Amino acid sequence: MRARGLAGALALVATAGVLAPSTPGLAAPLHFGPDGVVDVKIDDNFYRPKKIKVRAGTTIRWTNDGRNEHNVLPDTGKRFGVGEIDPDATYEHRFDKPGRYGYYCSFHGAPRTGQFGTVVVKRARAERDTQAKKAERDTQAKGGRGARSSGT
Amino acid sequence: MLAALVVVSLVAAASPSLAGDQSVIRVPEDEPTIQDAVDVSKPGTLILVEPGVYTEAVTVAPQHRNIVIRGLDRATTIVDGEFDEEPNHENGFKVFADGVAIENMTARNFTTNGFFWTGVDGYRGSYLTAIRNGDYGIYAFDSVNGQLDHSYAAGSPDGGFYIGQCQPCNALIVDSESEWNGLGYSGTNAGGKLVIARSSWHDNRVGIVPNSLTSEELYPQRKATIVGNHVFDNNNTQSAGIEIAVTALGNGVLLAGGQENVVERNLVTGHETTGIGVIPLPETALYGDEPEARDFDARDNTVRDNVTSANQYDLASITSLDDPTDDGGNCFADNEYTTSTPPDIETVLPCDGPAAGYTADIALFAALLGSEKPPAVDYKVVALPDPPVDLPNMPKAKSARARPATQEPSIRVRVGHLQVPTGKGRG
Repeated sequence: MRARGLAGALALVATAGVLAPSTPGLAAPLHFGPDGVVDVKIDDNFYRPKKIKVRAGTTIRWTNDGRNEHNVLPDTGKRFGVGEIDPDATYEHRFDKPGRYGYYCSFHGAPRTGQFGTVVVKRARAERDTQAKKAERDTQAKGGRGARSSGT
Repeated sequence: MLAALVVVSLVAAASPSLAGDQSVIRVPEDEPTIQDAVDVSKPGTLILVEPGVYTEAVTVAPQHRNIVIRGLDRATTIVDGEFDEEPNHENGFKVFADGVAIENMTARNFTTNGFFWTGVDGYRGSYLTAIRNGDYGIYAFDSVNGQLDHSYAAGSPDGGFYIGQCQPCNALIVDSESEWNGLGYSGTNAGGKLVIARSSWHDNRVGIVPNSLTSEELYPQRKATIVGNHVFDNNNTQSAGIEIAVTALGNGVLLAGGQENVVERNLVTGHETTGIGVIPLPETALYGDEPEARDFDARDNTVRDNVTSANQYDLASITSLDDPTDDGGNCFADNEYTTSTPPDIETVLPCDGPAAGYTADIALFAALLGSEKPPAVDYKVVALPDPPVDLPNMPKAKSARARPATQEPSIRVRVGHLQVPTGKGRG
């Protein structure tokens, strides 16, 4: 159990006698900020969302909304990660290469157990479209029927 | 095969009753480290750890379920973190497997937790000592069907003992002791068949604190029973402490934003703020910048048959910061007490009838908790007392057969029969 600023908050209560009205609980939507960053929240002791799919070139920003320290460590290798994220602090990493990136908090988890998460990076849209068109051309050149680009 | 025979031979020499039991792994004879022993364990394995200082951090992966890890001597079988901040060295034991029991040893100097079970069904910590760990001493999170018994925790800035995020928990803390922590016990969003009994909580900054927070799942906290405990002198300004522990200094039992809890037949003495306090946990005041923050009222809690004395306020009840006339269904009956807020609390908030003329003194509450408090001390350098010399060793640690944590809590506490402690002896 951790808290921040309780003394100050209660002093305010003592002075004012009332508190701001409570805010109902909100789901945590996955959102894309104006800077194109995708947010993952860290609570005690889980990541939210636990699994996230993004296009290559996306930056993931982990924000510690919990009361305890957490971290982000890759299941394998050292291509990203940070050893400590204090409450309210953030960590960002840009994922440029398609793939599946498992990660965990070493304080409260281990690879694929306890507090862990996954970032699935898909090909960037332009790259994907280019490859789909190339495949289509190749198919047409061979006179056969091949896969089509979905265009999404 | 030869190696297996050597294992059996060594075990047979030291532990006659376990002779021939090939499910026993002895550390360091059979495996050099506890982690190595865990990694080759199978369900039913008993890992016996010789006295010594083991500078390792142990992870029990999910496939190693239903094992028992036991020290042969509680005080001298020590897992020491040496304050190592390297990833994966933060916890003494980090258990992801169901049914794991850890017995009769000490974990100290870890930057996060001494003993930690997470996401498991079935756990037990018996005869454990956790000293000077940077978060919690003995910690069960998102876990059910567990027991922590005959254990001791000191020197953690957060909870010496912590059971969090479970509903129903079906868990028991019993015959244990917690001192010189920020919080003797913290239990965020934990309840439902959760009993804290027959234990001693003293010389922490705050004693026993079930609480509700949105930072963990399953809020609000509800349905814990605190019975037959000795809670005293939790005013320790020389201990480590997270901010809430510093702020809430001097409280024995605080039900912080909890519901439907029962606090009965405890001995609660010597607190500079309150002995037993039923209070809200106003997240919108504490974390107003967080969109999910909410205010947790204290509702439908029962405080009865306790003996309280020498607290600034023996008993206190505030349901909500929004409405001082909201009694919240909290009730107080048959307690021995002298002071309370509101005054004459058992008449105002009786258990055998409706509330009568209840008005909370919110300004007093805010003043008590909001006043300046001595700062926390770094947990790494706190001048901790030595652990009590009479901390019990596990009986027959060398010969008792493995009992994985598959049917916890295994100690049968007859809650209705527990009496108020006398104040003498442990718990």
